[in-house]
Amino acid sequence: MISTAWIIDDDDIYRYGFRKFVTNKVLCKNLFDFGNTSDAIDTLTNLQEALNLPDVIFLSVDMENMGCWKFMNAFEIFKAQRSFKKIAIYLVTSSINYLDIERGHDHPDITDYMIKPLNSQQFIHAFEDSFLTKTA
Amino acid sequence: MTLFDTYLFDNDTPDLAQTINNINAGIWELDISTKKVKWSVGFYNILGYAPGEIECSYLNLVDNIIYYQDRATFLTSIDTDTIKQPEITYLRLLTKSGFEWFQNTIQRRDNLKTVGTIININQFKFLEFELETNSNLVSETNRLVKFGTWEIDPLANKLFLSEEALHIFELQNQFDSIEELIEYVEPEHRPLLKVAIDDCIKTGRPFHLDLLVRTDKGNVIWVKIKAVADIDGYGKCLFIKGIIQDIDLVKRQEENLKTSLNTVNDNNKRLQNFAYIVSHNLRSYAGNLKLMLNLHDESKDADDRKEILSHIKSISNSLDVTIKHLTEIVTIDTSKNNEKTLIEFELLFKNIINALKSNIQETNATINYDFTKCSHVYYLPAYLESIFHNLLSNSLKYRNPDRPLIITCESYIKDDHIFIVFEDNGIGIDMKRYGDKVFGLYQKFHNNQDAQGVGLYITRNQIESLGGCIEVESTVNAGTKFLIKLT
Repeated sequence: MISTAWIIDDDDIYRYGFRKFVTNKVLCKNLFDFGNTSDAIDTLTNLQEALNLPDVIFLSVDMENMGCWKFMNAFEIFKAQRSFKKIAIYLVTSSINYLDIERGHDHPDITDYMIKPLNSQQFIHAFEDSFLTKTA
Repeated sequence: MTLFDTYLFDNDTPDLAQTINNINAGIWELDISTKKVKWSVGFYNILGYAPGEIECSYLNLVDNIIYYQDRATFLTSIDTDTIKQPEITYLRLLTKSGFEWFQNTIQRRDNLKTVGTIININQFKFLEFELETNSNLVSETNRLVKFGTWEIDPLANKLFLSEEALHIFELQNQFDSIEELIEYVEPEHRPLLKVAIDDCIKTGRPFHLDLLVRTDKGNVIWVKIKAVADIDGYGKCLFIKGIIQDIDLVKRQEENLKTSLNTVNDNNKRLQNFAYIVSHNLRSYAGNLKLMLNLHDESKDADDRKEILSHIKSISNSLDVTIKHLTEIVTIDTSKNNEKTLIEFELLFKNIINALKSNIQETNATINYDFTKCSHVYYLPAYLESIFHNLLSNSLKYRNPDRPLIITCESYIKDDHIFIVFEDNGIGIDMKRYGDKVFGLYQKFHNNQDAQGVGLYITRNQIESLGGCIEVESTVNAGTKFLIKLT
């Protein structure tokens, strides 16, 4: 089982449901949720222990002010400064806008792109894949 | 011996007279007092007769040979006492094969005698007729297609326009110079023509321009001006020739078409965006709803189930709001045909302020308005209410918390259009980043009872459905200004 997952999404109900689901299924040890990008970026840059870094991040594309891409930029900078374990990043959206899909596929740090509503199979796969990547 | 007797003579006739007789011309002589005429051999020949074949008499000449409509011309020409100079007239004479055109040159020899020569000009006359018909046809056609020709003599700085070209400019007289022609072109197009003509004179480069000109009567029309240069062996421009055509109708239609195309494109884009947003929002609600229901099914804990149910309720409420907004957007196009009424700006604006009273008091906002420059508008009351309501509530929502909110609104008339300027000193919009999204249905509105991103979208659609437009200027932390053309 993976140890830490992050969810960055400004949809409160979705975050609540996500947490409930992950807890019920016991998919990871720690789950951190962020209602906006800046909190997530702050936490990322202030992390002292590499151990506390997440194994998987579920990032919403649909946040205000292009929040998702702000986070990705911050992540690039962070990655360039420090070396750390592989982090799986899943972009989650309820939009079927193909431009976003293209961008998702082009970005080397983005593991995959998921369209809401996610079913339980997708959830579980995402967690298991991240675990496998990590241990491989 | 006279010329007129020579046909009676044999080969001993003097050479000069022989020669003259063989010229393809006839000579006649008239004694005015006795009305006695003499005809040369050539005279008979040119009419297609042998000498003596027809009666050589004044009566025969005037009554039979000269076409009756040309008789007056002939009689005038021989009756004029004063004329000493040769006078040329054109007559139709009856030849053996019918009437043909002749040129008749008359000269008074002394007080008694008049002599004349006739030459057959039938062929030339026919050509002349044909030419005249053709040129009439050409000028009629040109007039019909509003087409004229023009020429420039660059050495003399002289300009010549055909009648039809002058007609396009609604002018009676020629232009004095090239500069004067350029003056008739609208200021924004003047440099184009000036450069093209200069270039054509200097290098012989042909040109082809569509320009706006102001005619002598003040009508602004589109004309096509084309020109090519005649160059000499050294490549020097001798002459510029070209055409001028009134293409106003075509151009205006083209512009109308372009506008329609833009409207269609805009509508299409809007519809696409609308469909995208609808699917996006409904999907996010559907997703959350499904997630919650699954959790509800799996959950054993009563408190958990209670919380989940409260979330389901909130999703349901948001969905309801969204559906209402979408309905409002969809009905914009159908309600634009509702009845317009004369609305007093101030009255309506005060009503909206009243409706938002609690928000305004809460934010301590100052609202200034001035509708004196244009107090009324003929518009859909529901739309105008919605427009003012959206603008005001936006300003209240996006105020700068560090300073008191000041909103100003005024109306005015310009070029027969009614405008509204609405300005605030709020947080502003980063136009570089979000300029194109201000009026778009871009922002998602799940979990947001304020449903941001819908208001301005509806406002724009309402304004545009009634043929107006809305623009925004904004500076971050300084404020936002909306300029609305209502009608």
